[in-house]
Amino acid sequence: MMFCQTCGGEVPEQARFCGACGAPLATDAARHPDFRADGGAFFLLFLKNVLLTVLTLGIYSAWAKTRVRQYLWSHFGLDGEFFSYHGTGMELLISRLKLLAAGAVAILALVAAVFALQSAGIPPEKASPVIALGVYATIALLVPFAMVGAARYRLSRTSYRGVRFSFRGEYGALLGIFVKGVLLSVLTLGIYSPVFLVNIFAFFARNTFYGNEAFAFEGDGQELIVPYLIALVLALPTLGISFFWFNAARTRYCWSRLRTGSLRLQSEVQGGGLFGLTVGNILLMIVTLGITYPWTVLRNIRFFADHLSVSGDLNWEAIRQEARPATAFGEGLADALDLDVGL
Amino acid sequence: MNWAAAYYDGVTARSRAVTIQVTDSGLLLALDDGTTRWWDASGLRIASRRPVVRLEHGVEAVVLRDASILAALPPTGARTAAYRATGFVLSLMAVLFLLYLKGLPALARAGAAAVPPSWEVALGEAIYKEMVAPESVCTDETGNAEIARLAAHLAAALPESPYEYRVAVIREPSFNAFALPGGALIVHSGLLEKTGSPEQLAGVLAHEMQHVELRHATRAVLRDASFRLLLTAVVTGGAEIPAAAKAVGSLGVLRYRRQDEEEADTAGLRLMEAARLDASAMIEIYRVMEQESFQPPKGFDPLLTHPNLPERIDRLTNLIRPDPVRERYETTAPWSRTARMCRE
Repeated sequence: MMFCQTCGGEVPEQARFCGACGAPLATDAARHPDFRADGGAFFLLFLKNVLLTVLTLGIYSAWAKTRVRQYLWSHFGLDGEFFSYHGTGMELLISRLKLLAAGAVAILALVAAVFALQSAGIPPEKASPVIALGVYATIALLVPFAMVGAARYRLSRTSYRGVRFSFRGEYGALLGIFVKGVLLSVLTLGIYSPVFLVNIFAFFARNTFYGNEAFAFEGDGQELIVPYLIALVLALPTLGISFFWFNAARTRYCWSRLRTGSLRLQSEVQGGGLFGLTVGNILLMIVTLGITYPWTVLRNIRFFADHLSVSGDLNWEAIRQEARPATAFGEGLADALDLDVGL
Repeated sequence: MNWAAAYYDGVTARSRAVTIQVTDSGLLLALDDGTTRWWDASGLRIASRRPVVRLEHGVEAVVLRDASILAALPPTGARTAAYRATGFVLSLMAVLFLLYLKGLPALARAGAAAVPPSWEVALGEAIYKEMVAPESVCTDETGNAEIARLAAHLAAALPESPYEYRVAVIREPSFNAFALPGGALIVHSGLLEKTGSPEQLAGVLAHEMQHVELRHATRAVLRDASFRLLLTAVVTGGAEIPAAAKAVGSLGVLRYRRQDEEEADTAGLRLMEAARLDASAMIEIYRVMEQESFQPPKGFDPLLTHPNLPERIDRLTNLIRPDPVRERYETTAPWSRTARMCRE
């Protein structure tokens, strides 16, 4: 017979958490995250979000996004405790309005540039490639900026056991990874690109903190070059399906090298499973004309959780709150650029 | 009543056993070390109801599996915050609605005024080359001269136009005519053949000329683009929501288009009167169009680019001046010949 360390209540052998107070019990065994989302409830939330968004001329979408995250975070658990999301719809909406103002200024500047070139006697056919290049370069520079901003916002609004996560990566560092990654990928005819992808993952992993505890990532992605080349060679005869196996290998590689303190992660995602998940989602969406979209969201998360295991423990007493402030601006920018920055 | 829960102090990740006592004004937390904490109801937040109940107060939190505590909780400060957010959303909706109704059309009008007409001419020429195949243009000299004279007669009644108007009749059986920015007017032979008088064709040309004069194409580009920008800026989120926004955006843009058509109708009618032509011929040609082309049933208006014809005819009938100065428009050749100029 065991006893709960928190409330002293009696608990059966091999129990993960206490039946009396709900506190998790220490264990060294590998276990999966616990994703408890309910398809029906999530679908109703989704329906309510669409309805209110249309009724409010779209303004509610900021709250809609927040409600979805609150739902997903609070149903994603580990060792009997669930994550918590602290973002608000209002801060997201305000960031969008600020972004709208910034966008309007940028467009006015662009129009002014066009007029200036016109009055300087440069014909439009000569000016437009320069302007297009400028616009694309600006967007390219904004992408890493938005990714860092979105990560800061999301992690700062996420907590577990009352302690906030934070993201402490700098824009310049990610920009450096991007410049180096794009250049080397081009120079090596794409062979470098799996290393580039791992470098991005490593940047986000190493700059993520749970309280005062940093996440660590070991690996430079070189082991992924061969699987990448195999996928590339097989891409043509398999119509690109071979990339599911590469993506599975990448997911295993990245997540299995992630740890924080003595807590280790291990991913067992396989190409076949990933392929089945994607085909299933696409078929579901086609057959039901997209109504099953909320289920596909849950299916993806459940698949990820079922193939992820965690071993080891953190010394909860030693994890101290070390929250960092973050605004929602980067999040809004990532939305505007249509970037999907997964957690 | 009392509930057992896990307590997180927000300082470390350690959990402690706590007994929660719910009162009318807040929660009294008795911790395992004998200390107590008081949570006032005003600062209480229900962060989660399922699969576990999570209550928060500042950085502190309690977590329990017994959901019966939810029914016992005193009213929290969440309601006031919700009212405030609703008020903010409603006022922002009002601002957006005003921008849509008045602000963007006014901005687009001012913006279009800053665009030099020469740009519109260049754009119109580019579209013309793209859209009109040279071999489809009817070449009958007498007919073209007759129509050019009619267009010049109308243009002469315009106050100082920066545009030069020219009409191209193209071999197309459908009942249609349109204007390109900068002054090119294109008439389908299917429409020309159904006109019974030069005044009826003048009614069509007057409407199209006013699209050019009022710079509707330029205004539409500025207005529709800024409207869609506004929508996408405010509405971003999961994949499903932008789709809804796009649908709303398309309906909004179509409403703008119908307003442009009404504007061109009114101004076209006034141009007919200024050119001392029989303005009722404009209504006659709309009646012909009612017979000749498909008319969607009532109720489909929000999906259409033009207002429905019975409404347009009613509007024009009410707008027409009762005792206008009219002069008979003299043609050099019989109109029935000009109307069939593409038959050769």
